[in-house]
Amino acid sequence: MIIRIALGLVASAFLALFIGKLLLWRHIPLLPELATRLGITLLLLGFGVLLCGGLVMLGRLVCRAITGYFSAPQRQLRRLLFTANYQENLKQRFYWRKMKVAITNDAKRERLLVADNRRHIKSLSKAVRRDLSALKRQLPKTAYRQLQQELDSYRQELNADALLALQLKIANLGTR
Amino acid sequence: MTLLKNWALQLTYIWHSVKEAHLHWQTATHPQQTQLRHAQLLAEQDLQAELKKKTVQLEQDIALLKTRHESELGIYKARCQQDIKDYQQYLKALAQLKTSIKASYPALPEAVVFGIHHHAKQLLNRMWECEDFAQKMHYEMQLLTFMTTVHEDAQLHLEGKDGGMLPEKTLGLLRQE
Repeated sequence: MIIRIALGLVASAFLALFIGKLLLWRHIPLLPELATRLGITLLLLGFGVLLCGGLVMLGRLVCRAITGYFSAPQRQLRRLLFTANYQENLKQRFYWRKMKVAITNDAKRERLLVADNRRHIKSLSKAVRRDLSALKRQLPKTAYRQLQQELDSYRQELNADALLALQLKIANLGTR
Repeated sequence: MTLLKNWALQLTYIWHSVKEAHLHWQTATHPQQTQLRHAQLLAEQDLQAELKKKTVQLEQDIALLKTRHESELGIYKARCQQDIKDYQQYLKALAQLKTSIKASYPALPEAVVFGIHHHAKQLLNRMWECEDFAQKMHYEMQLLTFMTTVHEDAQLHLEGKDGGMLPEKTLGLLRQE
């Protein structure tokens, strides 16, 4: 309806402008100006009505979209998708909780192992120190100090293999 | 002027014909249009009911899943705690092994005692960290064989049945591995 009115106004505007042109051709005073002004007014009015019609249509689309968004099927669908997403999240959360328990468990075992290593390495390093002290007079000062430094560093690093190798080295030095 | 009037009348006639044809079409298709609207409403209601049913089913599945997860996690935590306790027991057993070697072979150097204990601990850690079940069993057998050999050597030495000052079988196993 609005489009018909707009088109009618535009058609009338063209008619009025045409009449104005005709009157101007006939050299009639005042009337051509009036007809032109009428034509322009009608044209602007037509476009204005068209613009308003467009805005009304846009408003209707927006209202329809909002109504559709809040309609029962769409609400149900959103609820279903939310629930499905929640289920997926639950499965992922379970995996990560299990992973956390495994990692915590491994960390506990590591701590136990390190504590145990520390205890045994302490007693081994005491024994190696005793053996080294027995060779103090036989060895040159620099060699003795180096062996002591190696012993301290391996003890701090809790390096059992290196301590055993050092002990063997000291034992070999003692038998020479 | 008459020409203009004729044009205007013809335009009006065309306009009215179009409107009349449209009215006839609307009247003729009115039952189908009603049927279509009715079918659309029914389809919408069916869809709504289907979605609601699926949502309820999904919510039930979620409740079951939560219960299952909680129980599985509880079992897994208990198993992990038991594993830690077992590991502590193993470490205690290895420490006792070391004490028994020291007691049985007082002249044995500390390094040899430590070496035996260290080797046993390596076997234990290898067994613990292994992911493959068959390989894990193999390492466990190795560890148990090693510990049994050490105890046998200690027993024989205490009874005076072995000839030497060293736990020969144990050292033989060490050299092998």
